[in-house]
Amino acid sequence: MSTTADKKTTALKGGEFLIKESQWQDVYIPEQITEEQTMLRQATKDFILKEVDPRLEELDKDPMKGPEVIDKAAELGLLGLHIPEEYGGSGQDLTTFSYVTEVLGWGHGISVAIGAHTGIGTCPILYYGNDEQRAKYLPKLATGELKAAYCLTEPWSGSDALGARTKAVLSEDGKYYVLNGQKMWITNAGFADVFVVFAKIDGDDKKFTAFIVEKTMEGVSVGAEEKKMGIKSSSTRQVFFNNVKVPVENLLGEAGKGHKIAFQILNIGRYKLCNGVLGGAKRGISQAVRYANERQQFKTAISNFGAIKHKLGEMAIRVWMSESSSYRVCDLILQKEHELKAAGKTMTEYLTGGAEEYQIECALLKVLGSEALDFVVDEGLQIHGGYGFSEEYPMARAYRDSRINRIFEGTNEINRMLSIDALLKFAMKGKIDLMTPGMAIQKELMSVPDMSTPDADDIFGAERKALKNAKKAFLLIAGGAVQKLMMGLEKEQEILMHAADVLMDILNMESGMLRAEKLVNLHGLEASQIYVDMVKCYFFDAMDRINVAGKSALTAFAEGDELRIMAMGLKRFTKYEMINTKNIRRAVADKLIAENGYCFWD
Amino acid sequence: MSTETKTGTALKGGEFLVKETPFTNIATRDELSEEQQMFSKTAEDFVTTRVQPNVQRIDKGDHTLVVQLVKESADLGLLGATVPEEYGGMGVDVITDSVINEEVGKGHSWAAAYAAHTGIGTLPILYFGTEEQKNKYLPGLASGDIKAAYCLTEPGSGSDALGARTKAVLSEDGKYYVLNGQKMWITNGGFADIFTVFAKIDGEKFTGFIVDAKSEGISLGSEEDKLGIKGSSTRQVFFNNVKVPVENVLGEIGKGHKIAFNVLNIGRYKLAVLALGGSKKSTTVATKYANERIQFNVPISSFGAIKHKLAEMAIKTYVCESAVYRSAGDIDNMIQALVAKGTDKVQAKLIAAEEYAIECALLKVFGSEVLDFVVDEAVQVFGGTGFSEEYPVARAYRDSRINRIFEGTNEINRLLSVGMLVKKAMKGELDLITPAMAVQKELMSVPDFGSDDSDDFFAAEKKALKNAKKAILMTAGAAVQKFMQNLEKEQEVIMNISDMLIELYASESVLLRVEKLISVRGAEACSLQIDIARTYISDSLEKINLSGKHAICAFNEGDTLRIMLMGLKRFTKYEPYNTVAARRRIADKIIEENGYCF
Repeated sequence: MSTTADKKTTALKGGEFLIKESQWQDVYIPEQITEEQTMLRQATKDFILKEVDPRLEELDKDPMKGPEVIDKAAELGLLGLHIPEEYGGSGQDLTTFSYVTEVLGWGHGISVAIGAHTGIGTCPILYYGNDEQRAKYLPKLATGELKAAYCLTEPWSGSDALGARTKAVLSEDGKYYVLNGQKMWITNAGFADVFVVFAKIDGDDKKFTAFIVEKTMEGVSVGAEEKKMGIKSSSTRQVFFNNVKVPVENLLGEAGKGHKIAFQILNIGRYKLCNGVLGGAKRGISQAVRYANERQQFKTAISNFGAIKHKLGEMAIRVWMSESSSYRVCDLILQKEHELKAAGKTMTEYLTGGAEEYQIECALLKVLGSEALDFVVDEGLQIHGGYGFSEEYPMARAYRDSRINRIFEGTNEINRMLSIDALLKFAMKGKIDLMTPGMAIQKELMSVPDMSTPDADDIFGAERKALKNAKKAFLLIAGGAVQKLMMGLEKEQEILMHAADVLMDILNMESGMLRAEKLVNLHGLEASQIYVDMVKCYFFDAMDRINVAGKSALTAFAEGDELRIMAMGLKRFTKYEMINTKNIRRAVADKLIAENGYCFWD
Repeated sequence: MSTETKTGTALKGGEFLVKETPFTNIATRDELSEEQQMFSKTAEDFVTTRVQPNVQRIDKGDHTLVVQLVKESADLGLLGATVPEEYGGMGVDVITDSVINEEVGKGHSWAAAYAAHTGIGTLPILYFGTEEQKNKYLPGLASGDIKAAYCLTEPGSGSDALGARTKAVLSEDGKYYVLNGQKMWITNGGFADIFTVFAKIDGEKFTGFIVDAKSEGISLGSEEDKLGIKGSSTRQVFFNNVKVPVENVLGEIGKGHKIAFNVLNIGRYKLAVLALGGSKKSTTVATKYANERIQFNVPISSFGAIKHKLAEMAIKTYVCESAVYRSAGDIDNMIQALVAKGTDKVQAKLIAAEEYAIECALLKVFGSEVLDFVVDEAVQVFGGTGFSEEYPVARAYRDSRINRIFEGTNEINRLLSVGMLVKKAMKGELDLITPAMAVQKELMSVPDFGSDDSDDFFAAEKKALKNAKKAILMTAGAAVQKFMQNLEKEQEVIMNISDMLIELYASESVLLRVEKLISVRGAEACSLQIDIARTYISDSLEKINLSGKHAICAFNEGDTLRIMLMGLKRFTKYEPYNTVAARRRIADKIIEENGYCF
């Protein structure tokens, strides 16, 4: 797949989408899927339809049957996609992995089980294992002979992951660590053979360290299955460590560097979560469309009603826009990986370097994806009416299952704050220059507004202008907050949350616009008009959201004249065309209805 | 509740859009009579000691316990609260019924059973029954000896209630009707003794019937496996040549829709009250957890992100409460007025509920959406434990979701609210034309730059709401002009208008309530309530603005579009208010009190 040949500009660095303009040639879009990837994707669809769908109820009743399905996935090679060939995998790149993960996202709790195994279960060893550890575990993780779980959270440490109390003490002979502690909400715990466990050596906060622990080691035990609201087919238990002797060679990475592993794994995990939930969301849309086409009320299919069309249209638009960001970021991560590999970096460095570089984007995607899914299942349920509330129809399960995504891999609140925190850190370190554009805005605030009209020949003239302004709006809000609050900003979580909301919309607006533009360039305007319209509809609402979030943020830290000037600037920076969003949503819905399911790249 | 303080004439249904209400005219939750407080306390004690400890058992399907608790509530007078005394009830007014239902709303599945029995189960007979029917059934319904269910929905007819296929045919001897059909999602279906069934006589005349559950030919489907309110019995009910005596026809033949829709009016109001109770409970549960849960060495309630959530939960709940009791008061006042003029009390209630049908529909939407917001945020505050069924919020989250669906989906209620408003205007019952024309004129004239009346504490808010009414009149008026009879096909526009109406009603209600409260306690003692009102109104105007933009852009172009958008902007202005700081003050109070405290 030649994705590099048509690139015009150098790749964006992490967070740089905020201050730089990208061209459509710069972005990767899912429509660039290769034939080989399409085949693999189809195989994954078949797997879900054959192995998961018919067993949903049975699997929900007994999560210990999950391994049967995971083994089937292993037979198809789905567990080892990202594992290099020398360790028994197929060494596929992140893009290919994503195409598969997205479809696995159809699998309810099973997708969580598989995701936990291949992601947070396997990746710590893949990324941070030494040669021996990799050779010992990865081939068996690829075949599913070993199943993995990740033990970070404890009853008293959730968002505060580093507050863990599990303790590791080196034995006198220096041959093993003795582990004591308790981990909670551990996915796959019921059947996992290998646990990646985070513990503090000697209970010292500075010695947060990861260990590979095997189930067969004496002193490892698991609690009863948690009774969860959703993803019931995934096993979730507590795991107890009672004087467990872990050989020193099972220490993962460096002693005292466990936080690095934990956070790196979460970076890429957040991207993957987004990728998976968007697959689930597309399926949810298809189910809702089919039901709306079948259900007759007032002597007509309910899909004929404007209220239903509005919902269907909006569901598709939100998912399509977030998907545009997701594949764009996927490619950026992958390019970074290639770059680091070419530069001779170690496997650890190039495998983790991409997600680390784009940690801001990963955090934003996690929120965007999980909230898009929650929106879709909520509206999907509503379209189903009374049947939506019945467990015998698919939406109730989807509704319950979806809800965890806003909580795990860092709650959406934590991820919102992280994204801004990381951005500010990047700026402090001089990694990206927010100062220059920030200052330019201050100057612009004092000068005559730019009244130029967008280029009429450019179908995205208005959007490009709006996007540029939206970025200014963000810099105005965040820049103002930083100046005013300095180090105190981190205590102003509400402002951080507003800023993160703005940043997410900017990422989506830009990614969606560039995707649509690329499609126009590939297939012509006529064939791509619907995407152009979807982008415009999203812009309309997003610019309003930015305005509202911005106002809340500004009034929280500015007053009097200062506030007035900034508010005027915000108003100027959040202007967009007044377009008929009702007609766009109807057009989008009509397409979904005609195709009887999600049809904008499925 | 003392009504002496009221001045001026009461607003008619829907009139809040075109008239200003003095705060002295509205009822609030802050001025309950001693008797009302007693009812509230009785209900609270009952739900706390008898229902809540049994929530798990009930959810596992122990319907015997559900029935027993229904009976126990009857012994306390809670079941027949709204049934007139002459039929064995307490005959309380709507506000008193509301304080009871608020507490019931904290009872999860049991609340659904109670509400279905006292509401859609009992009311059809109370409102439309003959004297004989009332005498026969009401005392038993009030005492809990008879349990009731309401059979309207069918597999093929949900929102389209009148599309029902259940059929009734008069027997040759004229003594009974033969019923055939199938009803679905019937709450209390498993243990009800009587069903109010809607069927079409000869497949045409939609009619209500009281059907004895023991009649031959009635059979029940198995319990539905539901997302929530698992402890309430929900089944299909099948009618196979069921003979129903002609004396069991309810109301007039062919007028079943009147029963169905009228019962839904008051049912919607009650749903909002139940949801309000649930919102208060989940706000408290989330606050307690946030105070207990330590992360980063401090309770998570000390974080701004959590404070924002807790405050917003409380704000919406308080606003919902303001709107609910305002409507309750309006309905009660109209009942009193009608009764004073000699109308029968029951009939008066029916008329009053119909009068405020628009408000009832808006409240149903608002109440159920506030609850869904609150339980969703409660789950989020709980984090991982929020997803666990061993903590209370997962259940609340699942249980809440049905409220946006039953008693008419929120979409149907949105459409209805605007539909009714337009109908009232067409019939000349409500003059929307004159004020709408005035707004049109104002659009063309120089904007009013008049400064706010500085004497009035809420001058800015009042001006903003006055303008919000103009924004709605402008939007709705233009839509009616443009589409005429075809407006009903423009559901998206109707939904936008409805959203604007909801925000207006909610905003105005909280403002009036706080104004009234200030008149009693002084502004200083009400600083948090003032925060609540201002924060809500500030956000509300943004929503009205956005809904208006969507609507206006959907059917205007060129100059008209530009003029209307300018008008909208002008009509949705509000001084920037530091809602972040206000929410923190509100949250700090809840955190200090360890629960909802307004």
